[in-house]
Amino acid sequence: MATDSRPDTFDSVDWDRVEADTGGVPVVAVVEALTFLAFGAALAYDYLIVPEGEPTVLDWDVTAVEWLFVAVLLLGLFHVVVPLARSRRMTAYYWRQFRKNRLAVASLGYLGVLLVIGVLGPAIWAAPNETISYAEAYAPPIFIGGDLASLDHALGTDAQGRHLWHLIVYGIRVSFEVGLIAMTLAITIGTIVGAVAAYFGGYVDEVLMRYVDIQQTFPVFILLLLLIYLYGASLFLIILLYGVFGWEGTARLVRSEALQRTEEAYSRAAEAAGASKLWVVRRHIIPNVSSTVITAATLSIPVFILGEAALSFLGFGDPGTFSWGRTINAGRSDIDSAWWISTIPGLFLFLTVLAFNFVGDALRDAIDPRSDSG
Amino acid sequence: MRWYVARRLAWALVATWLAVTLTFGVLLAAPNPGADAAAAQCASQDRDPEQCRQQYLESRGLDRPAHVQYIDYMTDLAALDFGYSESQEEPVTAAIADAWIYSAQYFVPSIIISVLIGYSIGLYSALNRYTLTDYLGSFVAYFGISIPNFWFAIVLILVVGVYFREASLLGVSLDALSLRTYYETSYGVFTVENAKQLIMPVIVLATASVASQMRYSRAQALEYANADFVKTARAKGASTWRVLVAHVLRVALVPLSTILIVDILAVLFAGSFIIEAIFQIPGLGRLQLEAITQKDTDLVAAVTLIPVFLAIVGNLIQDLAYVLLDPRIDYGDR
Amino acid sequence: MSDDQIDERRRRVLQAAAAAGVSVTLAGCSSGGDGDGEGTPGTDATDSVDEEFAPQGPGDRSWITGTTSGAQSLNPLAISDEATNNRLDLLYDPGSVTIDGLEFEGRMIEEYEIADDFTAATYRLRDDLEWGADYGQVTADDYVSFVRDIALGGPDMRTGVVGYSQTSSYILGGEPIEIEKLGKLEFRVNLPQSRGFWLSEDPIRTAYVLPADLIEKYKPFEQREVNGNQANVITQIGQDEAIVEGDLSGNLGPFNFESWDKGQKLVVSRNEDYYLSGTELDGLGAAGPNLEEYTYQVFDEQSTAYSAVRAGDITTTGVEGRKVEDVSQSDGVSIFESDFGEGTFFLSLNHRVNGWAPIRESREVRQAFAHLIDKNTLVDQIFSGYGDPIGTFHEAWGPFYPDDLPTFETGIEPAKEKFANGTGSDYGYDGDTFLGPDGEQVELKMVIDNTQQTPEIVGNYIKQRLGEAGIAVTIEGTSFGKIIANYLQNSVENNPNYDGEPSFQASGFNNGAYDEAIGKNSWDLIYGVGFSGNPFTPWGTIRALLPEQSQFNFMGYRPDFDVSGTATAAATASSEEGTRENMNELFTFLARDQPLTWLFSPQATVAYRRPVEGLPEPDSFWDRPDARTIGLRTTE
Repeated sequence: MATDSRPDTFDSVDWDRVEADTGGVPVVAVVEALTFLAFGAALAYDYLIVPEGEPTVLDWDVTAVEWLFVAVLLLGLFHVVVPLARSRRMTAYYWRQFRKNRLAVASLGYLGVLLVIGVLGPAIWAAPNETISYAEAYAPPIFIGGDLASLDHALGTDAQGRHLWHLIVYGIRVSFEVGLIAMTLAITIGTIVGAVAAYFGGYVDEVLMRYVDIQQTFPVFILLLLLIYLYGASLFLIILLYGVFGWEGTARLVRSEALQRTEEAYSRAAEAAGASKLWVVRRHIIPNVSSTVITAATLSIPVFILGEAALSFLGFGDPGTFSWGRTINAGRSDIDSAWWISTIPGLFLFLTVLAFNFVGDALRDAIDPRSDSG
Repeated sequence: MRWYVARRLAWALVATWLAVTLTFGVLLAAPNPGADAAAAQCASQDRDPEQCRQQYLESRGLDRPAHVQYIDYMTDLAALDFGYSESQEEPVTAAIADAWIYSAQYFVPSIIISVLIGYSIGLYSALNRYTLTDYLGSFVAYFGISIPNFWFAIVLILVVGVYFREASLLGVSLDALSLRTYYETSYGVFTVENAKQLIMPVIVLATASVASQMRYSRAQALEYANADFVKTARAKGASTWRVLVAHVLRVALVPLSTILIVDILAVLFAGSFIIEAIFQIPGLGRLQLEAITQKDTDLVAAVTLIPVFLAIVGNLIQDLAYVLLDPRIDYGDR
Repeated sequence: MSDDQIDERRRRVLQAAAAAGVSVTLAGCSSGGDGDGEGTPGTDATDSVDEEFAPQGPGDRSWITGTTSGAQSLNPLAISDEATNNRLDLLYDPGSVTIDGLEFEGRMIEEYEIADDFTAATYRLRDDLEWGADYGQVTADDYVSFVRDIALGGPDMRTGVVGYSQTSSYILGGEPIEIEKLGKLEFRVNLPQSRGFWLSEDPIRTAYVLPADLIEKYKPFEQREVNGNQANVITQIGQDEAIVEGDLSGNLGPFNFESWDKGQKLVVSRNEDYYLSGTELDGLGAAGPNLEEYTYQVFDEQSTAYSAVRAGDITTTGVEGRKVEDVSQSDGVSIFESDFGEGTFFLSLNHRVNGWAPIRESREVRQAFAHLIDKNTLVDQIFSGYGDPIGTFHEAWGPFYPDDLPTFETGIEPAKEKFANGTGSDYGYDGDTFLGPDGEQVELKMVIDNTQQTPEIVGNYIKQRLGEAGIAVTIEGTSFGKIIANYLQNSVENNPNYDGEPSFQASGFNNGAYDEAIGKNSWDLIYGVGFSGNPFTPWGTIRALLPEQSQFNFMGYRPDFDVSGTATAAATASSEEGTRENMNELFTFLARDQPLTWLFSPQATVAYRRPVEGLPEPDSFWDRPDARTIGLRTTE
C-alpha cells in the first residue's frame, strides 16, 4: 500500500491499521482502563486510609471536588487529546479552521495561561486567609493610588485585608472545576439521552422525553435549598446538582438535531448495511450532532460558573472556597467605595466567560463538517 | 396525530401532579428554621419555647401530619382552590396575580429586545464571518452574559441613580438622565414614570439573554449558509437578504423554534430573583424564594405547578412545531 | 419606634451577624426615621411650617423610610419583632411614652399613680379616645378585658391565651397581677410584689389593647378555622376585619392605615382626628404629625437602600457604621448619630461538657479571652468606630454601667499567661504553641453565622489572635437556623456519657445541667448570638440568660454568685439607690467572671436625605428622632 507519499484517499487506507489491536481491544482503551484503575486506587486510598483532614500527599488534602476534577481531566485526555493526537491530519485541519478566528486563538491562549496559573498558583502564592491583615483592609489597587496602595498587594485588598490577587488565583481553580466538571456531567448525560431517544424512537423516546419533562420543570432550587440545609453548602454539592440537573436542555437539543440526522441518508445506509442500532448511534448520530453538542458544552461552562456566582449572591455558595463569585458577592455592599473588590474578579470572570464563548464558537465552526473552509 | 397530542396533554396533567407531589415531599422533609427561631425568641422572653414553636407551626398549618396536609391540598386543588398564602397574607391566586404583573413588565420587553437584537446579530454574523463587525457583534452579545447580573445591577443603580444626579459632564448636569434607584409600585403600568423605572431592570435582563439568542441563530444559520441550496440561490442572483429569509431561515426554524417557544413560555411565568431583589420589584422571583424560605406550602405548590404545566405544554407545542416545519419528521407512527 | 415600646421583657435574640444589620434593625427601631418631630427649641418654627415639602414619589407621598425587615403582621396582639412594633406605633398610641429614664408622658393614660409601697397602681384614661370601626370610646373595660381575657386569659389565669407571648410581663414572682375597674375611665392594678420600677416595667403602659366588644365576639375562646387552617384566638382576632382593614385605630394614632403589601410596603396617611394633634408638649412644641403620608419601604438589598437615600428616592434609612462615610458623600445626606445604641455583643463560650473543659473550670482562662481580643479593633473593623467596647453585660453608656470595672489589659502575653496558669499542669506552652494533655496543640472550634460578612470578620480576627497565643481554631460557618438547632438546643439524648433523667429542664435551650444535656454538635466558641433588652431594666435579660436553670442558658454556665437573686433584688428594690447597688454588684461580678466574652455595644446611625427639621440632640437614649410624636418634616 502506498501510503507515504500520496495523500490518504479512501481506497488507500489500511483499515486494519487504523485501529491497532491488542487481542481484540484497542491499546488506547487498555491504557485508559489502567489509568482509571490507578485513579480509583488513589481515590480509595484517600477515602479509606488517610484520616479526615489530613493531607493526602505532601501538603495537599485532596477534596472530593478535586478528585472529580482530576477524573474529568483524565477523561478529557483520553477522549479529546488522544484522538486528536492520533489523527494528525484531522487535527491539523481543525487547527487551520480554528486559527481563522483570531479572537478565539487569543481566548484559547488566555484560558491556557489562566489554567496554568490556577493549577500552579497555590504553590506560589499563599492562601487568601493567610494574608488577612486588618491594618491593610480596603487598600486600593496600585493604579488608583492612595495611602494604602502598595506593590505588595498590587490589586488591592478586601474588607479583611486579603490580597485580591491571591483571591483571584485561588478562584481560577474553583471556576474551572465548576465549569468543567458540571459541563462534563451534563453534556455526557444529555447527549446520550438525546441521541438514544431520537434514534430508538417509540417507547424509549416517550419514556426518556417524559422524564426530561419532569426534570426540566422540577424545582431544583427547592431541592438545592433542602440539601444545602441538610448537608451544608459545599462546592461538591453545587457542582453535582448543576451536572445532574443541567442536562435536559442538551438532551432536547441533541434529540432535535438527531431527529433530523436519523432521517438522513447515511443513517439509513448504515442500517441497511447491517449496523446495530447502538453502532449507528455511536458512530453516526453522535459525531454528527457533535457541533451542536460542542456548542452546548462550551456555552454551558460559563453558565455554570456564573450560576455559582448567583448562588453566592443568594447566600448558598460554599464559604470554604474562594470562588470568584464569592469574592464578587462579598464586595457588593462596597461597590460605592471599594469597587475593586467586586470589579476586578468580575473582570476576570468576564474575560474568562468571554473566552469560553469565543473558543466555543470557533470550535464549532472548525469542527462542523458541513461548513465550508471558505 | 390527534391521539399523540391528546396523550401528551394527558401527560402534562400527570407530570404536573408528579412535580407538585415531589415538591410537597421535599418541602415537608425540609427542617423548619422559622420554627426554631421562634422558639429561640420565646426562650429569651421567659416563655415556653415549645409553645411558641407549636403556635408558629399551627398558624401555618404545618403541625398537621404530612399526608393530611398533602391530601387537603390536593382535594382543594381539584376544586381549583389554590389555598391561602401565610407569607403574603392573601389568597394564593391574588398573590400570584399581583406578582405576575410586576414580573411581566420587565420580562416581556427584555425577551423581545433580546430576541430582536440577538437574531439580528446572529444572522448577520453567520454570513459575515471573521470580519470586524462579526467580532464586534459577538462582543456585544457576549458582554451581557459574561458579567454577573447582580454586579451589573448594583453598578447601574449607583451610576445612573446616584452619580448622574450629582454629576455633570462638561458643565451640563446629568440629572435629567438619571433614573429611580428602586422600583416604586404605585405608578400605573402604562405610565411614563413606570417605563422609566423599568429601563434598568430590562437592560440587565436583556443583555443577559442576547447571547444565547445570537448564538443559536448564528449556529443554525451557519449550518445552512454554505449549503448547496444556498449556493444555488446565490448563483441565481438572490440577494443576501433574500437568501437569509427565504432559504436559510426556513430551514433553520426547526431548531430555532426550540429556543423561541421556550422563550415565549418562559415569559409567561418567570421572574428573576436577583433583579427583583436588587431593584425591589415585587415579582414572581421574589415570591418564589420567599415562599420557599418561609415554607409557605400553598404558595410553593402553586408557584411550582404553574411553570411545570406551562413548560410541558410548551414542549408539546415545540414538538408539534417540528412536525409542521420539517416535513421529514412525522409523529404518526410514534 | 419609640424606645418606650421596649418592654422590659422583650428581649430579642439578635443575629449579631446583622451587626451590620444591627444598626439597621436598631435604626429600624431607634431611627427608622419615624420622624418624630420634636421641634427642637430654638428652631425658627415659623419658617419651616410654611415650607412646602416636595413629594418624593407619586401623589402626596412625602416621607419614605427604607428598612430591611418588614412587619410580620398588623395584629396588635401578635407582635414578634421590632419591625411590626414600629408599624403599629404609627396606628395606635401606647399608654404613655418615656421622656427620659423614669420620666414619662401620658398618651392614652392621662394620669397614673403608684401606691407608696409600690404594690398597687391606679390609671386614668383620657376622655376623648375613640376606637374606629364603631367600637365607641376607649374605656377601662377595654383594659380590664384585655388583661383578664388575653394577657392572663389562660385556663388558670396564670398563662396567657394561647399564642399571646407577653404574659410573663404580667406575672411577678410567680403570681399574676390583678386588675379591677374603678370607674368608666379608671382602673387599678394590684401587684403581688412590691416593684419600685413598676412604671418602667409596666406592660400595660405599652400594650396595645383592644375593645372589649371585639374580644367578646370571639368568646368562647377555641380553635376555629381561619384561611384554611385551624387557628387560635390571637390569629382569629388578627384576621378580624377591623384589624385587617386598619379601621380599628380611630383617633388613637397619628396615622391612618392606607395599604399594606406584606414584606414590601406599608402606607399610612395623616389622621386628622388624632387626639393629640395640636397639643403642646413639653419641650416639643405642637404635636404632629406634620406629614401627609408616611411609607415604610422594605428593601431586600441593602445597597439599593443606600443608593436610594443618596439619590433622594427615599427620605431615610438606617446605616451601618462602616457605610456612614460612603453614604454621607452625597449632597443632602445628613447623618443622625447617637452614642446611645442598643444591644450588647459577646462571644459565647461553651461551659457544657462538649466544650473545652478549662473554659468552665477556670475563670483565668475565660479572662484570657478578654485579654486576647482587642475590642477597639473589632469596633473599628465592623462599625468604623461607631461602637464602644464593654467589659460587662451592659451597654457602654448604660445607666448601670459600673464606674470602675476590673479591666483586662489587651495583649497576647497576658493572655498566654492566663491560659497557662488557668489550665494547670496538663497544659503548657512549647515555644509558641499551647499544648494540651495529649501533647498536641489545643484546637478550638468556633461556629459563626456565615451568611453575613460580619461574623466572618470577627471569626477570622479571633482565630488570628488565638493563633498568636498558640491555640489553633477551626471555624465552622453555618446558618443561624442551624446554629440554633445543632448548637444552642441541647438535651441529654445527645450525651452518650449520661444516662437517665436530667436534674432539671428549663427549656429546649437549657435541658439539663452542664454535664447532662449537650447540643448535637460540639463547640467551644460561637459568635452570632446576641441579646438586646431595655437597658433601663436589664435584670430581665440577665435572669433569662445567666442563672444556671434559666430559660436561655444554652452555654451551661454555673455562676457561683446569686445572679437570680441579685437581679430580682434590683428589680424590686424600693429605691433607685438599692437598684443601682445591686446591679453594680452584679455587673462587677460578670466583668470579673467573664462567663461570655463581652465585646462591644453599638451606636446608632441613621441617614436622612434632605434637611430634616426636628431632629433632637442625642443627649440620651430617649432622644430618638421618632421618640415622642411623629413631627419630623423635611424643609426642602
